[in-house]
Amino acid sequence: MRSFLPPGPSGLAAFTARDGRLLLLLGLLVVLLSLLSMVIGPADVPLSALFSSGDAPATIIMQELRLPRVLLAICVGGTLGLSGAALQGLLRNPLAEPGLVGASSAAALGAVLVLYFGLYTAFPLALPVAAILGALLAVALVYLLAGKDPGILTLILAGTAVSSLAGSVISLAINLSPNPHSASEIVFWLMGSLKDRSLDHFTLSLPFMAVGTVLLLSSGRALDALALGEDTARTLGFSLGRVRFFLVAGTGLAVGAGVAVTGAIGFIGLVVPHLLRPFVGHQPRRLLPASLLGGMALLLAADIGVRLIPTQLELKLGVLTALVGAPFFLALVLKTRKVMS
Amino acid sequence: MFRLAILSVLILTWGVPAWAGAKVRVMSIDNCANQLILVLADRDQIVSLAKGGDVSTLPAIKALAEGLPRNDRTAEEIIRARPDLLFYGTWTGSTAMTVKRLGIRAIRLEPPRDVAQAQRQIIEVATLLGQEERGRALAARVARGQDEAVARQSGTRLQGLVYRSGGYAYGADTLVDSIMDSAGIDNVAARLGQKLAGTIDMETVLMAAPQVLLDDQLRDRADPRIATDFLAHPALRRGLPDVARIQFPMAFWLCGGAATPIAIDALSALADAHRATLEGKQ
Repeated sequence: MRSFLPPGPSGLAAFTARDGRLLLLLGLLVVLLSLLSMVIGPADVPLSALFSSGDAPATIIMQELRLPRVLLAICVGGTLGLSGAALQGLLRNPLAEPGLVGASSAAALGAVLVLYFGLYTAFPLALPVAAILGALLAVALVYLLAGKDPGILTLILAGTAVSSLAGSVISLAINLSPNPHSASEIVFWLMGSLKDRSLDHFTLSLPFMAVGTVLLLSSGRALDALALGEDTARTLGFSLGRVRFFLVAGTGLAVGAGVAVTGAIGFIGLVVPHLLRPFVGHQPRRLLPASLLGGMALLLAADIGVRLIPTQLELKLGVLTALVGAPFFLALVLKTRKVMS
Repeated sequence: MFRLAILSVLILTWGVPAWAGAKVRVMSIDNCANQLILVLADRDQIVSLAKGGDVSTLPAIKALAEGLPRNDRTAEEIIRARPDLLFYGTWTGSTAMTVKRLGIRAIRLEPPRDVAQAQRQIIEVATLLGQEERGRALAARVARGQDEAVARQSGTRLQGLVYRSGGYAYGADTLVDSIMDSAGIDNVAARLGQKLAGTIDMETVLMAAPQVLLDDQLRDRADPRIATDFLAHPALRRGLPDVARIQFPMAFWLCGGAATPIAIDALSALADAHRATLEGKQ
């Protein structure tokens, strides 16, 4: 892929010192929130326990419960933010995000089917693979349904159709579950959570999320070109088929692997790119790394929130992000409508 | 407690005399009511029992239902059968309301919150069925089971916890807590302040260090098991390496009734065996 940008062929040329400061700031925020997340929990455990050896309860809590939680929040939050920014660039629409285009629901469907039929016990890799396939199919389907340069309405309708389809099959699984306990297990899992995940979950999903992240980050220049229209991008030498493949595959891998171990966590991909876009001059390529770090910070903050908000029963992470994200989405629809009119 | 009091008042005011001479024809649309009716009523009193409930019924009690009519818990079936008495539970309230409006007497069975309440419920249901003698005998069997379990206990009490996928645990004011108490196990969830059923963080469980983890979710292989790996979490394996994991099917304590004395006896035997193992190690 060739750069079409005036400063030269170097990928870094488009990034300014201001971007560097923004990324540094977001990076520091991620570190700070990670440390905070490590020390917040029902048990009073010092951070130093993370580096202790032995099997004291404090050490185990730090190493086996809180560390996987923080690592997964960083990876899943980062990939959700990045996928949102990439999808918005691909579809040239600020309302696109993994949840709204049906990727999260379809990934959840893939995971639910694997869990439902007991494949996970025999073959753990089936879980991320099925979720990834679900997410890939959803993004590809929305892309086909919405057509070239989709309008807001078309995009939302295509996403709603895919989500509804995935949701209806998940409902069927719940409907046919043999007892109320199994049904409630599926329902609670679908709400999304980072609680009680292990390092096994992290290592299971990390390779897929890493490949997805590389694919999405490497598409920055193509997204910049796409922002000027498909014809312009083609004129600048970009193979649109290849670009689409990279972005769809990257989103499917990243979102699918995340959903497979955490359940569906929505709206991170919508909120983060929107908040950061003004700081990067509305340029898709510069938005990608910022959204990656922003997604990490937002999910870490939300996961701290579910532990600090006092509720009788555990507040699920996906519920909290939806409660914050849905009004944000509505405001964004209104704002976008005004701009369009 | 309040609802049981209401049930008692209903028994006194509606009373058995209305059916004096004839057997009360009874129908159940609740799994726990099924179990009570099966052991308390005559077979020719039973109009039909609710379908399902395999997970919540001990095989010995389930065998009694062989050959008896089953229903799908629908209002249509109840109206067609017109039983003298209908028992319903937490999940079938709306059906019961519908048939109540048509003059069918419906009694709601609340899950008992301890063994004493389970005993009272047995007697109350037996009275409604006109089978007081059988009710008193079963209640006495529960009391005897408790006494025998207490008499068998020697040495210290165990610290235990029923821990399910998702961190679900039974706290104080539950039949499970009461059965554990009778079997010589202190409920760690109740000690941690948990009332009724709810969730307890894995971190909190690790710090509380129970000696026994009871898993009552034994299921068949066809079940979806989303949180199967919850109890196999490395934190539990590493943090509680010596904990005794006891499989104790939920059919023992999901409903009060004939299963209660069996549950006390079985859990007490398991607790005694583990206590002996611990004392042997020391």
